[in-house]
Amino acid sequence: MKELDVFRYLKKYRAVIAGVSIFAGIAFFLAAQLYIQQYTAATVIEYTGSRAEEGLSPDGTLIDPSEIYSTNLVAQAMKEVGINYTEATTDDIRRNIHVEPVITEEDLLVQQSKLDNGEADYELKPTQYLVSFSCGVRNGKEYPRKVLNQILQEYASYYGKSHVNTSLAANPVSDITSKGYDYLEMAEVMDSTLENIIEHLTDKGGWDENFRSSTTGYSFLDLQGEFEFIRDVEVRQLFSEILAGKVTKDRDLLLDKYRNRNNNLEISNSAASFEIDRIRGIITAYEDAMGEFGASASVSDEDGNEVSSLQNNVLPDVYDDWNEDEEGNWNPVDRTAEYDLLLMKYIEDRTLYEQNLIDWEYNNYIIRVFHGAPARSPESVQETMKEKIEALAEKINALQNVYYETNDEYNEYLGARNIMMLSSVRVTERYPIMIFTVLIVVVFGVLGCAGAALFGRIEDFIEYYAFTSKVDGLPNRAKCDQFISIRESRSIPESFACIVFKLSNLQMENARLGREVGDKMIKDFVEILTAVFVPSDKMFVGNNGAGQYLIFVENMEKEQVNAALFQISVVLTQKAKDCGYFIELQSGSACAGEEQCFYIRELLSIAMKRVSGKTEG
Amino acid sequence: MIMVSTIVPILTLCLVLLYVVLFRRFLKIKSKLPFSGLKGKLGNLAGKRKKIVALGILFFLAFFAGQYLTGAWAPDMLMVFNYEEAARGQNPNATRFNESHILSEDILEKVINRGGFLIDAEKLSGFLTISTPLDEEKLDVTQESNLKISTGCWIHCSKMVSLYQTDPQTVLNILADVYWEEFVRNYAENDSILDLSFDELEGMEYLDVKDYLQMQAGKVKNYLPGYSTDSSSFRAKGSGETFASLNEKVENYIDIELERYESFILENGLAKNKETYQSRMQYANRLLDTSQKKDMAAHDVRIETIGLYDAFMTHFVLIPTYDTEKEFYMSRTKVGVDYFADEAKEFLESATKSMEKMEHNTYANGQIGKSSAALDVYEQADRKIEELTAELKSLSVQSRELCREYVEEKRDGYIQVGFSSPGITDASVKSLFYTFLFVIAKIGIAFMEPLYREYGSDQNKKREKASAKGRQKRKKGDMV
Repeated sequence: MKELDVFRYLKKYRAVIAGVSIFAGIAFFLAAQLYIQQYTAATVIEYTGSRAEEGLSPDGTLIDPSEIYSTNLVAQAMKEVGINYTEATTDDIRRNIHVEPVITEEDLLVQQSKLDNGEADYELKPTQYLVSFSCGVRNGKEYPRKVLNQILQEYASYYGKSHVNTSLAANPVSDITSKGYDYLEMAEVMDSTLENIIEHLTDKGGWDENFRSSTTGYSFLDLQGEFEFIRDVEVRQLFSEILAGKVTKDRDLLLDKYRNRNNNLEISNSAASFEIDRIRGIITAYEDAMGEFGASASVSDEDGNEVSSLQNNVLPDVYDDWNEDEEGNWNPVDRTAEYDLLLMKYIEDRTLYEQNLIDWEYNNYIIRVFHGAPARSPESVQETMKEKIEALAEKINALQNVYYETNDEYNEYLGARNIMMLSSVRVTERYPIMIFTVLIVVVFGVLGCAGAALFGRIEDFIEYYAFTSKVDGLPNRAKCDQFISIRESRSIPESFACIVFKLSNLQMENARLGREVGDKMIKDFVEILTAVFVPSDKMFVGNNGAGQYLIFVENMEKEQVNAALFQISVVLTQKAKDCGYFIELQSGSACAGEEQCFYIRELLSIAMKRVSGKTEG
Repeated sequence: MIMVSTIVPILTLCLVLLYVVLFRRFLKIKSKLPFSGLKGKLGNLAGKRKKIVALGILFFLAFFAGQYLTGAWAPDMLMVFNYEEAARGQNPNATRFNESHILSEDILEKVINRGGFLIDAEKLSGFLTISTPLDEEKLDVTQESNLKISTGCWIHCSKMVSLYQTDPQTVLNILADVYWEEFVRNYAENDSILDLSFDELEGMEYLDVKDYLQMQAGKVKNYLPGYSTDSSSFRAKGSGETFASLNEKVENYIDIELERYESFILENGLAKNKETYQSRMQYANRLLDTSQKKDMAAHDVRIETIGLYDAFMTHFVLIPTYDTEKEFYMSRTKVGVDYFADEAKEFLESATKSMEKMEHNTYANGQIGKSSAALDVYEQADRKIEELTAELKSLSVQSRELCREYVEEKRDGYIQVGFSSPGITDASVKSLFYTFLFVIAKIGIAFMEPLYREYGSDQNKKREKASAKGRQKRKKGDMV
């Protein structure tokens, strides 16, 4: 059997190993690029509100970055980007969004230092967050950037609306003429709506007087000016026309309403006066109690006078800033003293009482005005009034829409101001597929080498037990047939040569000298044969089992064949002389080029025909 | 032109095929290759040298032309956002900048409509990609220097768009125009507030005209401070106006000219509809009176409460704290009376304002009631309105001009667009490299040609023929 030589196997299977490794690499690369690879869009945001470092939004609520992937924002972003639910669901997107706090080494050092200094309850409150979104490559590289950008856009707007600019005046004027109100009531609704809007705009103008919407071109101050003009001129004009003309849809109903209002005011005042008296009582009792407490806690000063121990004391920091309620929520501590609360309640009730009296007086004025009015104003007057109100309502609505549009942009502006972008959205490939591919090629190469060694060795065993003659160690008849079969269907090269040897006197020598000598003859012959025709990829030396030795050489000229035959005969003669036996060797050869025969069986047949008649040795 | 863009891929494919042929031939005849006499054999190529050189030059020119013309025909577009807020990832109006909006559906729809392209937005979106120069860098949050905002982005349009009767550069050009318009409309400075409308003055009461013009002048005034804080030293090239000077002019208009107009109207008691106006003033005063009474009631209640406040409840409350200079001191905390006093003051102020307005209304009402102004006075008032309107218009125009000049200088058009030009050096180097590979392949093939002819695949056919002849010959020999 052949010796174990790993390099022989590797050399034999090198093409297969290389082919399989490269194929595996290509297959992996394609599969990975299409099904495994992911694009990741990432950016860093920072909360920059005035209380962000305390972990609070401008409205005092805790900063909650998980709002970024809340269902409503993701759904809104999907709608804006045009992602159907057949492409991806809200949960698909949410699952792939990650928000992680950015904690630097510096932050950790500060935290450690605080903890070391005894601030056991110190909690690190990061303001920077890494926001990322990963998805497959199916929709292209632009997709994750688009989705993440839109989600952050929605979040900025939501943050501005929910945590900074939380108030927005309502607009009950939009359908005022269709509600069956009387004209005076319509004018009142308009007036109170405008009052409310102006109040909101005054606040917003005060917060950001430089803000101006790019979409509408308006600032809050501009809108305030326009609304004020409408209120002061047009709505007042409307009121005066209604009152002067005593315009009404139904006088009695209107008067009843105002009388009813007065009744309600009287009831309210009755309750308020009752409460005012009781609060006065509580205040007096509270003062008395505090006075007694102060007196009992009195001490003597240096001059021997008694003073309250509570006087001129310095209050240490005896209360926490925050209290935790039963549900675990932290709320700011109300530091208003009980005494002040009592007085505030007193003021509230007293003010309400006084203002009710003034409203009562105003209602009486309206009742007096409409008392002598006709039960129902003429249709033409009503029609004119209705048109005026409709025109004014339309004007207010149009301006209100401008306000809403401006406010929407203001929310985006506040969102961007309170959540700064620290980095552009970057899109990168999640996995280094090329590196993995190289690894796959290498792994397959190594496995291929190991497989080749194993398979080669198994092949050696099979070769030895199934295709080797045990007497001379040459390939047996089956191997010779296999060799010929493989080549019989295709043409052989011009330099191909076939040589056949036959030991014609082997049986005679066996009989004359014994079987052992016969076997030695065979071994000696095979030794000489394989020394002259060294088996290799290009040269096959085999025993066909019928006492014939076949040699197929891919690259040998006629002259070289003759020279080899001569060399064998010389060596064989010498060997026979030394060993005391006689070998009668018959040989025949055929070269493809010379015979113009390019098929192996034909060439073998020619060589075999030539075996008889030639004897060497 | 799309055919030109196929030149480079076709030549590359040819090169690959050439190497496949070379490799195949090499494998067939490798045992016959005379490696020892390679130098001598190479000398035999002398006859083919000219042909190879000519083919090499042709390959180079074709490759170079293909590359250069494709680059010129389908360049990438760079959009640079050169306004101050871009570096903070914001639009000029300080809202969040979203570069993906460049390829949003509504923008692409507009591009298609403007270009008249026979393609839908979804397909066009597939041909366009956007990237920023920072995409190549991995985001490392531990390095502060790694956190950067890109102020530009590259937009690439696939050559395949030319299958829809257009070309990449046209698409990108229209995209740039459409996006710029959208960008300016949605995010840039909007001076439409300076388009002052005076239509409502028609039929308006004389005293209301003053309020209306004051409101419109207020818009101009509100518009200017936003800029004046940004650049107080900016001057318009033509007029030499600055934001401060124009602001002063508007203030003078309100404080002097409108004031003078109001005095004139009140002096003469002018009203377009005396009764209506007087009725309105009376109603306004009724409302103001109610409001003033309420404010005074609230004020009185607080004063009353302050009187109720027991001094004993306040005099020992001291708070240790630091002042603004970090000096430790004892502060008396604010208690109820402080807040009540503040509130009382506010209510009083409000009541005073209401009273002032009421007095003004009463005065106006009285003046209008006793007025007997002649027609020429009314005409004079109308002329004054025209003059005031014209002046406000002029101020508005001046403001707009000044702001536009300032925006032009500061924003420089917001977005600069550029196209990548095909680099001659890059194209030459790449073409030379490919030509080198081509020439090597041709030399290899030329070198192996004679051997391949002798031993190559064509020999098989010859062999079969010769084999048949040999068989016939042997048959004849056997017969003999």
